[in-house]
Amino acid sequence: MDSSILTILTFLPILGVILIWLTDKENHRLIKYTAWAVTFIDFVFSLYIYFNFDMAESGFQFVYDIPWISQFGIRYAVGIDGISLWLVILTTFLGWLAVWSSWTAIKDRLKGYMISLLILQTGMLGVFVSMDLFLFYVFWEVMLIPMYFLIGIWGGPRKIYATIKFVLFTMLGSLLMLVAILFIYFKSGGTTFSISELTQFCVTLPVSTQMWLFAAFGLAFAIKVPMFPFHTWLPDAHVQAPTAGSVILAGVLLKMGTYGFLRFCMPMFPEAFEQFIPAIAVLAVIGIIYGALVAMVQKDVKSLVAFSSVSHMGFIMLGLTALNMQGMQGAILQMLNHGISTGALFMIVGMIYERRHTRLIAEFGGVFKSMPIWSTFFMIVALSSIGLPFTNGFVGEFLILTGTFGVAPVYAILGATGVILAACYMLWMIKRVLFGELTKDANKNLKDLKMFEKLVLVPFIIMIFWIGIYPSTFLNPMKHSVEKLIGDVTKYVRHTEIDNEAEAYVPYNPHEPQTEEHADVRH
Amino acid sequence: MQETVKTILENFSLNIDLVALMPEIIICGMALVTMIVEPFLKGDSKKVVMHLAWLSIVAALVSIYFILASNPNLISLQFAEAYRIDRYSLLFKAIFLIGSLLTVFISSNFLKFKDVPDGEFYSLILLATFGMMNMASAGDLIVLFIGLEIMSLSLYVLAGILRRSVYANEASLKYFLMGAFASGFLIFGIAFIYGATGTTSIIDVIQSSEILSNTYLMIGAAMVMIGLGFKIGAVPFHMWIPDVYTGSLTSVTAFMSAGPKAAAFAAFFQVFVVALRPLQNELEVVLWILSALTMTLGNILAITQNDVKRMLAYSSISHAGYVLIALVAFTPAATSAGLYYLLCYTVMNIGAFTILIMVEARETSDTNFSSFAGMARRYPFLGILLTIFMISLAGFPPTAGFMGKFLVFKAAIDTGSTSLIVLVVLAVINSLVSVYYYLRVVVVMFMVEPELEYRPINFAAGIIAALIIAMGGTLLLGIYPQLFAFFLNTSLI
Repeated sequence: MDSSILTILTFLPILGVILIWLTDKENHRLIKYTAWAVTFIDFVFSLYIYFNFDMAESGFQFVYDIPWISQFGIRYAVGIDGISLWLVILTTFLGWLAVWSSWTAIKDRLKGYMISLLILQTGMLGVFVSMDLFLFYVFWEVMLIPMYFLIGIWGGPRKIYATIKFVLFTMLGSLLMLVAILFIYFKSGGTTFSISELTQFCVTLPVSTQMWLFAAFGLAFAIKVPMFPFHTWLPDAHVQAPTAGSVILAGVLLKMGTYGFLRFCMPMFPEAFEQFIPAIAVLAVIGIIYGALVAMVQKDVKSLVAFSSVSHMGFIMLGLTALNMQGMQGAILQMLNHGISTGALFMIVGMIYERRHTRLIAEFGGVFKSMPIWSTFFMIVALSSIGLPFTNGFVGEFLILTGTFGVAPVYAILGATGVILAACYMLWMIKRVLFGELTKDANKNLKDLKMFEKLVLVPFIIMIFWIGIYPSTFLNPMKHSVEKLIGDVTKYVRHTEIDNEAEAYVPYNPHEPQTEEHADVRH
Repeated sequence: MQETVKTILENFSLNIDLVALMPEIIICGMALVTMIVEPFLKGDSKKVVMHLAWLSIVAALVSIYFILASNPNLISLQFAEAYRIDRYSLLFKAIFLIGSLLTVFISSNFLKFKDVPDGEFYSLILLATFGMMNMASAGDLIVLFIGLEIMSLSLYVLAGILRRSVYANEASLKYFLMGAFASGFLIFGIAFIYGATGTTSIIDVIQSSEILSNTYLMIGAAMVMIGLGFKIGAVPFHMWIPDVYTGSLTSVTAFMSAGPKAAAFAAFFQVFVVALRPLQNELEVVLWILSALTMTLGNILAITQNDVKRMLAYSSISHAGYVLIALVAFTPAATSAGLYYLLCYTVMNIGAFTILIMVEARETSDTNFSSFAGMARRYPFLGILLTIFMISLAGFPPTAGFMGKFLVFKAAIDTGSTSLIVLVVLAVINSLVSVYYYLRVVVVMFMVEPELEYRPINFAAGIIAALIIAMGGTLLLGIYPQLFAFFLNTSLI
């Protein structure tokens, strides 16, 4: 069971696809229940992994490794470590709720819709569990097609433009990454695609080569994150996508970018990463502030949330550049937080859109009077997105900013303005939508949430407070993997002091001049 | 002179290995049989010709399988070493046969719909296949030329088989005039090579050209490249492709884009990677430019097309550009990657054409993008199949198109040369461009509503068989290439 659990987890949605395929396309109930059941079982499986996860172990667990294309040393190798554990759980969690949230929203071609969601889930899980670079690439690309359909068929008025833009942007990055993968494979002797073996090889490459490879990988991930200035596909895709599509897109797909940095860019090309740190940090800070400012002036709630994503993802990237325990853990936690908060926000916006068929802020006002329950959910989630203490957003952003402050105070201070700006745009939007007088007739008769809609949102609320109040549940499993990652990266970053006690890292400081004393402890 | 004749005759009588020649015998024999039998058949019994055609192709495929299974490392030289049968050429023949098989399947009902006589169609397909097989097995440049002519002459007729269509006439005439011109270049080039080296045997050329790399050899190589470049549709010798592909009967287009192209590549590999290998340094530069131009121009022109058939015609140009990368690489792995790519391309491209034919074979229909609007709503399964063919052509995993590209790119990068890495980067940017126009078909099918109700599609048995083969091939080649291990580790050199 233990070795095959990840395979079962990844391909269970495909089983669902087959079941739904066999269902009559008019039988919407059966299709929905099947998809719900499959994603729920998948979520339960991911919890099984959590409960059997060895938190003291820093490497991969539940490993399953068999040859796939033996001529080229391509293997089907899957495994999970503390970093990917939470992303896998996040994926199954959001996948399940995304199916649920589509209960009444999708009426046209439901069968194809559910099939797309399930294939997408297999692709996403595959990306997070792959231990073979080729396998990773296959899943990375497979994921694009169902998302392309989700936006293109069930999307808004400009869906075709948005979906093509999404695919072309993502493909641009990933194709160059393919060239880089092939180059590494060739340089390493052409016998393996194993991520861990290639990582050990890549760190020995000269810095100039690493820089090129980092750029190729980094571009793919930077587009996915998306980092400023590669973010332009995101608002289009988000605004046009159906609710569940937005939830998955914001919740999981964006995380693949940051996950890629963590899993590939940083440990494989540490010296190049060191060179790129200032650039990444600057772009991250620009993303934080720019995203927030643009979010402020949006007329559409959904595009406001979309731009807030750009800002939040900037935080995560900033946390990664800190290269210390707080920053890194904060970044990974923030990946979860962003998935939960933004996912919930998109669902909430979707619920009002289903009732009013508009998302323009100006169309609302005083909705609290007609929909108090929905409004309460909205408030809680919006506050968690801002980062109010006792909500999840606070813990993540706090850790990131603390981590960054230790190494680069200027970036931390600039980044912190993003929190303030987030409060501005969110609260201003809340004020305009929820409070004030009920001026529009259409808003007076709005029906409040149905039972299933409440049930969909409750798990989010639980997670928001759980992470906000007791983050250790989430930080502990990833601790050793993060320590190992930081150790692997800092080992090669030249002027960094290495302490054997991983807890007591003296963080790497790009601004500190290199001294002889530092040079002595080079590894 | 007399002695040469004598040795040739001796070789003839001694060395003919009928078993190794079985595929050729079956195909050539059946081409003649169908031609003779057809006039004696009336009405529905003319179907027999079609059944004979596909049965003979399957028989030839089976014989290839048995030849390879009995001796995987077979090298059999026939007819005074003018005909070389080895694993590489046999696998190429398998590709041609698969292309022809699919063509026969997709044509069965379409011919009736378009009112095309059965007999000559099938025998011409078989004859063209026979010509291609000769090209793949050519041990001598003259045999290569003869094979090319057998193939081309059949294709000229096939292109114009819709006798009453103006476009088909245009296609046929254009193809013939340009093709004749290209053949002239080819034979002239062979003459130059003969002049420089004193031989037309491929193995002898390589031995003599090692000492003798003179100007005449270069001129000869350039002319052969023009002649063969025309057949694969490499830019700047691609001008005929769009009109010929668009004007011809759609199943002929499917046929032309697969087999004959692969055959021309087989010849390309024979001449440039084997015979003219000593000129590698000079050839690399020219082939690099040819490859870069071919894939880029083909892609850019494909973007603006409003007809799916014409779009596929332009895209076939760009695919030739990708295979040319394998030629630039000049390594054993690259030749086997090129072989694999051509197999993938044959399967997925004819798959796409199959659905194109299904759409076209409705009353008053054409192959414009608008004919696909709303298709997926009425026929979701067909929509998904065409999507898979399209994403395979665009090179998404886990399909054949991705695996083919992956292998070619891998082989190119494995040479370690910077210029090839640049070429691969150019190729991936081109793949990105191609994603746009391939997905346009998907957009129209799934995301655009038709103006009227979508007219029904006729599912014929042959079409379904072709779809199953093409889809199975597209997925298996992409997901489990182990199954085709023969193709993966067979190289020319």
